[in-house]
Amino acid sequence: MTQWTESNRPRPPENPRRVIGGFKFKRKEGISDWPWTAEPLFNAIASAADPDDLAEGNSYALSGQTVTFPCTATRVDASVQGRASRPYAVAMVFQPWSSDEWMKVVQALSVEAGFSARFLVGEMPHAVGPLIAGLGLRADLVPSRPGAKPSCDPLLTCTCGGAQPCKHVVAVAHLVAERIETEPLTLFLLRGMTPERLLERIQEVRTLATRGENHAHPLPQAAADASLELPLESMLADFWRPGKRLRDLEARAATAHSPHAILRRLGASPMGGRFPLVGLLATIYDTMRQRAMVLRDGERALPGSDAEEK
Amino acid sequence: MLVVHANWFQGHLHLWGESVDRATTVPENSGKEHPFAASTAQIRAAIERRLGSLNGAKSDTVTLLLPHSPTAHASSGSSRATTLPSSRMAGILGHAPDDEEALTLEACEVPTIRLEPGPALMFLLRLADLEGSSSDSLALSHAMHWWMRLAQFTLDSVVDQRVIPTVLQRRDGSLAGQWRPWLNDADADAQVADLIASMPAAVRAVDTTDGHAWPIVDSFLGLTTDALIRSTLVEENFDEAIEDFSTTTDPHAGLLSGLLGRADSLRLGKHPEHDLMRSARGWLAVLDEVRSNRGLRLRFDVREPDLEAGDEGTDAKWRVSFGLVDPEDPEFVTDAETILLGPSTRRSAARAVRTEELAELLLKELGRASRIWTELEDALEDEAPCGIDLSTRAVHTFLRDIRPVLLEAGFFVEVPEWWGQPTSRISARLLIDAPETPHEGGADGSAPESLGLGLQAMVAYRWQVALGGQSVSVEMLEKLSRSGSPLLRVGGAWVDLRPEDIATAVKFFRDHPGGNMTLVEALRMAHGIDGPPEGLPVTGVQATGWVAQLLDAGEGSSDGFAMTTPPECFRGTLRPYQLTGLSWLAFLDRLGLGACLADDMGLGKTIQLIALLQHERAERAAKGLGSPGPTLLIAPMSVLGNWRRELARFAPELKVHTHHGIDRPTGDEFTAVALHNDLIVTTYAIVVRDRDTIQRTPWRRVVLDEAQHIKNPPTKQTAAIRGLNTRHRVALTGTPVENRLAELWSIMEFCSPGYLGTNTDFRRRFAAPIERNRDAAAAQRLRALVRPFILRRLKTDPTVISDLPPLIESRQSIPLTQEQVELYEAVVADMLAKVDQADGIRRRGLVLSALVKLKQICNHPAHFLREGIPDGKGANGKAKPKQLEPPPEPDVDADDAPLVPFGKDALDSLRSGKTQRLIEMLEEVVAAGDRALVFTQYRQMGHLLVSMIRHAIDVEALFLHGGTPQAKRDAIVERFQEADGSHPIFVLSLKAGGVGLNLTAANHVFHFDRWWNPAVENQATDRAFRIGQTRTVNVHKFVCTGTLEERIDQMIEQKTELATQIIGAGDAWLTEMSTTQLRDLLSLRPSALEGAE
Repeated sequence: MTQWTESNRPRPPENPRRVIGGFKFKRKEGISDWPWTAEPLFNAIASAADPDDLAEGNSYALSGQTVTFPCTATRVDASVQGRASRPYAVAMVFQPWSSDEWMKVVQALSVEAGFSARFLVGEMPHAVGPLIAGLGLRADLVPSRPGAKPSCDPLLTCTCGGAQPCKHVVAVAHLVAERIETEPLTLFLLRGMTPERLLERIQEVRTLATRGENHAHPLPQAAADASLELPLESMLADFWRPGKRLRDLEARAATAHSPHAILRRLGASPMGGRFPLVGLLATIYDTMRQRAMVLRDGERALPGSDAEEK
Repeated sequence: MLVVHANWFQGHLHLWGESVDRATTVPENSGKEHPFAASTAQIRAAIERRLGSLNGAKSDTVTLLLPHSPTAHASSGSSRATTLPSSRMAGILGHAPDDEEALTLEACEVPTIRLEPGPALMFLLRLADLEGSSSDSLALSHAMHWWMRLAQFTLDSVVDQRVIPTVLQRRDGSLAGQWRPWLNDADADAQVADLIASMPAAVRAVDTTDGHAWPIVDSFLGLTTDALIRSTLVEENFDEAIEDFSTTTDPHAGLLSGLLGRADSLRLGKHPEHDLMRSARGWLAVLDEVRSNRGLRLRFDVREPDLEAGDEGTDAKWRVSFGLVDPEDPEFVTDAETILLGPSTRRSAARAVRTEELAELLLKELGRASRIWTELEDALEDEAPCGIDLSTRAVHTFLRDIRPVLLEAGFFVEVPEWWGQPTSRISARLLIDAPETPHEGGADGSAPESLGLGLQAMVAYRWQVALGGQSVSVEMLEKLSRSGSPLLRVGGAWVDLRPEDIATAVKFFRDHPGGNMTLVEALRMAHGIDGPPEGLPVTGVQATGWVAQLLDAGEGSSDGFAMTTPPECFRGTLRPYQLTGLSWLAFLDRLGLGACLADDMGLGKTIQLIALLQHERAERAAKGLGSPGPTLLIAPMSVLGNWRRELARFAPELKVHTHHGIDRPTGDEFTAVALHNDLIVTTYAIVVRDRDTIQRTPWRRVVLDEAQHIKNPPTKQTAAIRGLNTRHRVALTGTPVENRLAELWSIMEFCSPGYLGTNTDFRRRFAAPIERNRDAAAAQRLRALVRPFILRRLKTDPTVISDLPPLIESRQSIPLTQEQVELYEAVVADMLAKVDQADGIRRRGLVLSALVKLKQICNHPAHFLREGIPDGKGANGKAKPKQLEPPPEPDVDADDAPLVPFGKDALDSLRSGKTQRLIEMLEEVVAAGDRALVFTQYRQMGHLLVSMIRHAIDVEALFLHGGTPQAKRDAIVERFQEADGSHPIFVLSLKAGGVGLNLTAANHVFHFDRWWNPAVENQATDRAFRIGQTRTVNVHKFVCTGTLEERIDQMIEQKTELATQIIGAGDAWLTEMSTTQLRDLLSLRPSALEGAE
């Protein structure tokens, strides 16, 4: 639940309509001393804006006129309450990296284990900027070319219809820059990939590079526990015999399974293919079960097994 | 003989072997090669002889990391590390265990036969089929058995459909499809954990995976599962299914492109590898969600509607309510009402947050469950979903189809008790009508015990439809079926009324009105084994009269049959459970049914049988009748002495004849002897040899002691025993027969021929499902089937334990073998001849050394002949009995000579009555999961015993002797005491029995040779029998009959004056005896010759 108390403060009448629970710009340093991750974007917008719009946008940001402010992949869609009855819709659309470009980024970032470690705690190492700049991508890591043309990065729009950047955009720019400062990995999101996913992909590439294998299925707990095994050197006295828990294994009763249980748990595939995947799998499961049943319960052919008895 | 091993290396199963021939002919370790690894030709030949052709298997080599010993094992004197044989091979060769501290791990190369994953799986499955049938040419290592289990796991996963299609990324980044078992559900995960924990270290001995267990298991399960499924799919042309789809644009077709055909590469476009990998991962992660939700789980509670009596409930409203449950403590449930609708006031902030979290978790879990149970989506539209209302029909679908999947996905589903019970479905019940006693025939009462026709007795039977615990008529069934509701209340109880069940039942009961059949048919049918009913569960059998008594018998319950009074002439007291056993034997005897008394070792099977003989004589005498006829007892040679001893002690009035020795009677002479006695005692070997003679005699009863000796497949011995002409059969055994199915069949086939069907039939119906598939239902059916005929009481049974003293001492009277007799007599003669001409110290020396020799001969000829000791007769040479060795060291615990492997002769436990008996008894100890201490005075004998145990029953006995350093002692003791019981046998050769050792894990104590000082022996016994011991301790004292051992034992028992001199005086008193006294004490008495032929 959101805190309500702050927004009860009285405002001058010429002020825009009051917003309850809006997003406020709270940065102690104000609009100076931005980090390298946020400075180019904020400064570019601030310097392009009309001084009045800048001042008003700044006060909008401070008083929390921004009602919603979701950062999603490649875009920020905000709604900012002005003097009109309805809030204006502000959008900043960033240049995405293509999948090929992402591949390069992931490759580059996976080289150094330190990057992943810093990403994990939400930090953006300084070295990442030049590293990505060196890859020759369409867009840099840090956006710096805002404007109203489609080639701009980000492309700025607002339903107020004013020249860009308008005061609403300025207000949002405060919040976006603040967000980038506190959560610098947002930059990746603005280029099209969540930080979590990026970490996963870096991990994939790293796995591939170190162990040479990678797989889609999760591993059971037993796999992790197995690493607690004793080294061979300390098992020389009992080298050939079965380890502990053989009796446990023997005592384990078979459990019943219902047909297609795994498939029913999996549900529909999220991959979006047209081929009826689960339907075919169901047929496959039945077919393989039939075959395995014959192997298990039927008489397994044992050519030559009588040879010794004779 | 070839010992086969296997290792998984780079996705292939590599079979390799150790060959006895190589071990004996190539002792030299040449370079990195394994010294007696079999050649690929040898492996191939040995395996193909058993399993048929290994088509397409290539020859290869693999480098393994194996234990090496720095000291040369063979007499080559080479100083380099020698590859040690595997434990199995060492057992066969008779190597003594090595000093583990000195062992090192070194690489060496072995020739292998390389199998692809598919053929490897088939090979292991076929090998599992041969388990239990022994072979002289092929022995399987422990690792082989472990691999067979892993192969079974693969097969089970596919049968159970617990497999997933997954995507692997190769080193070059390209993707491949693979079928593999789904291992993350709790039970599969636990099974894999057990498999890994029980993996022999030898399986990890390959170089590549750095000796890690998981990559081996992972690779094997993945590749064999994939091979099995893929071969099926290829055969059936499944890849045609995606022919019309583009594998580059349709991700489903793309995924399948690596799963259906021979090739596993995914045929994808340019760069979508990561995308497909990602989405496949996301999809499979759904299965694993339950693990991310550690803590609480969603629980469905199906509540029965409250209904008026007489309401059939077809239109009832059922409530399935939601809640969260702690999986660690399923009693702790928070229901959805409390979470979602609970009063929000007067709640601390912390609790509010907690409730908030619970609500979120509940909704998340409901969302997860709705994928499986789509009806839930409706409930989720509710603001506060606390439950869902279902019609009777819908709840049936839920219970039958949805619940099992929810359970597998890790949800909890609470259902009414009756659901899933056989009684809540239509079932068949067999009613058997029998008189109180099997037709009281024989008006003259001349032969009351012959009245029971046994299994062939005719009984009247009819079938009954049972539903909800009561019987219903066919008309009623038809009426119910018209209601059309799958769930119904019948007489107040809910029943699961499946239309297919009704149809089957109506047809079945029309077809089987009832009639007469034999008992064996009735019992087999009652347990759903033969004939009807088709597709109907049998929920039991109700009987009247003697059949009811029979069915209630077994399991030690005395409800079914009348208790007999202890026979008056029994010289002793029968414990209550022994009286039960006697009554049970007498009861089955009266019915003419064979019995298997399978009480734990030490519970007194012998005296229960002796009492039975007395009981039947007393009964007949009371009716003024004569002898019932002779009983034939067949036992291993090693227990004959025991039987004689117990018979003499408890039933001296019985006339017993031991049919043994060279001049035993044959033909009519034997029959005459037999008819003149109450009990004829003989051995398994003699029964085969004298089969014609023995089969001609009409026996009142044939008893097999150590009945596990009749093995399968049928041998001459089995045939000879089955061909005996007898009215009653009893099998005695101490092994847990019910768990050893091959033994069970053989024993039952002796006691109740035909009851379990033919061996093939039995394997198909019971052994294979139980052993291969761990089929609990089949195991349950088999138990029910044999229950009336097997009585097995454990020392731990509550009814027994209260009857047992904490310590049971028994004396094992053991005959000498022919070889032992000859050696013994030669030593005595030699000494007596010399002793007359000597005096003083020389005389004392002569007597003492003779004494030591005689004790050694009683232990085992190899002990006396010093086989296996370099200065003795060498490893393999069996010394001629007449050539007596110079006196061995009199200091019994001082032979520190390095041991060379014992030869095959030294390891032959049949050369000594004592070792033969010890091995038999230890086998029972191990089979029962018990643990034993074996005390001997002689370190060398200890070594021999350890090797012999390894050789005979493949168990690694622990060994502690006077020279074991303290630190190692503690480690050994700890290993013995460990909870998992992986070392059930502990051999100790210690003066004073190792005072201070705490060995309470043992419940059997064997005194293999004797100290002639009860105090010392008691100290040894007290290692096990002390504070912390919760079970009865059985003490077995081994004494060779007719020898000085027996005589001194008697003196001590009778507390003679001489005995007081003996005790505590060591052997010195003997040296003071006159030659006549010595002759009297040491010469063999006739009873010693029992074992000799």
